[in-house]
Amino acid sequence: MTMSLEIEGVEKAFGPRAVLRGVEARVRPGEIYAVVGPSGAGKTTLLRIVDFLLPPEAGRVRYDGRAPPSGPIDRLALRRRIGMVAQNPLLFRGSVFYNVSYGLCVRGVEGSELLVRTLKALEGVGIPGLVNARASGLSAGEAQRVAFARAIVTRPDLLLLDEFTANLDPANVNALEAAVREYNRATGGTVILVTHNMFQAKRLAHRVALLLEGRIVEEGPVQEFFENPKDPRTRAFVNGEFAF
Amino acid sequence: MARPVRAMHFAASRRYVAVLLAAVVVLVVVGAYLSGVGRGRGYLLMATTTSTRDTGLLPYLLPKFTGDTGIEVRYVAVGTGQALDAGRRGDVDFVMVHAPGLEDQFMADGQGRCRNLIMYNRFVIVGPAGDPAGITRSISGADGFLRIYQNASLFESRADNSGTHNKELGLWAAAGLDPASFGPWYEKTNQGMGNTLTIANEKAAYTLSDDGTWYARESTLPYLRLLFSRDEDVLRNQYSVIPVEPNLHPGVLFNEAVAFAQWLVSPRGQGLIGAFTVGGHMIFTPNGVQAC
Amino acid sequence: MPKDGQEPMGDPTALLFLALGVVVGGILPVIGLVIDLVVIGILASAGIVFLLVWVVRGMRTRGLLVCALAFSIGFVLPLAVWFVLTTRDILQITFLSLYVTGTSTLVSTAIAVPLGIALGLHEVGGQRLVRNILFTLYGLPPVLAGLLVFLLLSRGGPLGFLGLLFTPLGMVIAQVVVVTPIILGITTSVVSTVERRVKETAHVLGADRRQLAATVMHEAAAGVLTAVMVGFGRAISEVGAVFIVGGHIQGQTQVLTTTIITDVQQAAYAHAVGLGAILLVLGGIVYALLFRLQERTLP
Repeated sequence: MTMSLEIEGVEKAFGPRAVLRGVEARVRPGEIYAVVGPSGAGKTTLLRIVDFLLPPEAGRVRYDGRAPPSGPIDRLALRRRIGMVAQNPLLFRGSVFYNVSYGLCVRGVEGSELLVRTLKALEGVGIPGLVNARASGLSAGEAQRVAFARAIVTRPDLLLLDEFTANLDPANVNALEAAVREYNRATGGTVILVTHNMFQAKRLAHRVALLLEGRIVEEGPVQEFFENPKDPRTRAFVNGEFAF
Repeated sequence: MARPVRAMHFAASRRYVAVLLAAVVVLVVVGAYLSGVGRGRGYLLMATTTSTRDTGLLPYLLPKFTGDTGIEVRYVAVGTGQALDAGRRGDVDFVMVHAPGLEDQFMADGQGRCRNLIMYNRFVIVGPAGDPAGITRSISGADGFLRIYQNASLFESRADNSGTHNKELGLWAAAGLDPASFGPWYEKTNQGMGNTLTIANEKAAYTLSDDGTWYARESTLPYLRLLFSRDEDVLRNQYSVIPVEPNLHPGVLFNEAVAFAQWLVSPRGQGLIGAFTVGGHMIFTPNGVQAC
Repeated sequence: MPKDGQEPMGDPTALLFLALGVVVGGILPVIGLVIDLVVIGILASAGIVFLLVWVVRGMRTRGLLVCALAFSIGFVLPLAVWFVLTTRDILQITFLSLYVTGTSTLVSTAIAVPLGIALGLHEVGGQRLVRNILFTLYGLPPVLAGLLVFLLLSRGGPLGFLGLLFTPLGMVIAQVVVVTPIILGITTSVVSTVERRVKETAHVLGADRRQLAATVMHEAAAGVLTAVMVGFGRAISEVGAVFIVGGHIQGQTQVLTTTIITDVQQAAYAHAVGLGAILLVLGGIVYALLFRLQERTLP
């Protein structure tokens, strides 16, 4: 199952510092949509607004064309359709199994279905052998894979990834990127990928957007974005001319 | 593929909570049963003093009453003041104390239905083995106190408004002395007879004690001796039992309390009291007077 | 967790020292109890020395400290066993101690832990006031709690109709008043310092309010167990409140701690030391079990 997203005029400020100054974006159902830009541009903030962790000062986000519901039960239902993997994610105390199955547990999945889906998710990220390992003893790459498995085991309609392979070695990056691709192919879920790694955006995304100084300056299909950008700033960014 | 062994999180924590609550309920119910909730106490409860307890009389006497009548008697041993207060509150069925002045007040306030005198033992002066104040030569209790004062010997006062303490104050008064004017040789322990004797032993000080507690504790007080003992009226430590007035506290076991009071002054009870010894000494002289 | 290559508890060396302690502690009473007391004093001093060495020199001597503790416990064991076998009423007194302590700890846990989680989770405006009140209650002297419960449960008092003064359940109530603030305070502290990110992560993964609380509790489990252990320690060593509310009635409300008091009043010191030995052994067993449980909740 999938989800479409419309971000309309979202503004966010932290005290005197304005981070998002009117973001406009359209994410189509089932696509992998990359948001690139320099550090501090507000990419993480945008994701957090999409996931209801922060309220925008102005503007709104529409999910499948509808505004987010106000009632707590409906809100929770919508949230449960969204998954997120943060940068340096936090794993709960306990086993890898506990962590990965957590999302299924809170949704009331039990018994053999819980077991099977959790193991499959771990297989999907290439670490089935770690199922009983303590979460606290994992390497960075293993932990990130566990966090990813934890997010997708519930088959979210929208998956938010925030620099989710930053600081990982190429082997782990490859495994995780393959997992994203497979997830998108198998379930048709929408993915928003925040990254400062242009190569990753090129490899994974269907469409790319550049977030610069609090606004989306250009948004388009991946090929066009990199080879024939409309905005000069995009060209400069793609050519690595911005100082981050 | 290894099978995961941990139980699912929320089910497991729900289980812990259920077990905890079940345990709490079971334990509280058990406690309620042990505490006689709803049934009432299954025994007669008496408030008495730590001195009475220290003589060892009660473990000797009470089972005999139970054997004769089938009524079980238990007691709380506290200071005289608290014992009488327990009677005023109706927390006990009767009191056994030895403080005539306070008992008079208790009866005058209508807190007790009747009062049986049961027995007496003697107040004695104990002190350091060397007897620096020379009280063994005293002609009376008051005279002994006078010698202690003149020698400014270390003296431990219970200062707890007990029968013994009031007797001590009476003796100072009889000697024409006012304790408020005493120097640092006069110390106040604010505690029971047992603790006061322990302190007197540690400090090699004089103190007024009842002979029941003294003989019971003698072997543990190596630095003290019994220095003055005489069969004077003024040195009698008179014990009484007073059933609590049931009109004020309808829940008390009045009939059973009266039965015990009567048993104590019966020939059977009086005989047992007279036969009680500690370390070969007969402690109590039965002088029962029946009013209940 | 083992550090610097020294062994964790449960290791054969520690058990060897335990056995050694049992042997020595079993032989000494034959020589004479007075010598036993002197040796207890020496061991206590040795224990303190070990503790200082450990603190000053770091984890390396931890194994030595563990062995010293094992020896001390083994030393006290024969005394406790001999005492149990030769003294009247001791089983009843011990069981009542266990009952009152255990029940009051469990009841306090059932009250304080959910409350502590709720307080720790919600950043309320009155947080500072609540914390002030809690910490003041930490310092509530148990005897004062005992006095207040006494006045409450006395037949002359508001709850007198329950008839709980001078009963085991009354003693439990008094201890619950003492122990609940302790467990509550530590739980609140531990829960509120659980990383904000834990709550956020659980939230993002779709937990509702109840599930979030359970997850925070799961993260704080080690700390909550510490709270329970501290509460238990206070309960088992408490004497003032249970004396006032229980009345130390033979066959009814006599516990180990109150009997030690009356033993001292009657100068029956050897008896009191025996009771103390039993107290230590009981506490040691419960703590050993709780530590085991806590090990499984460590990250």
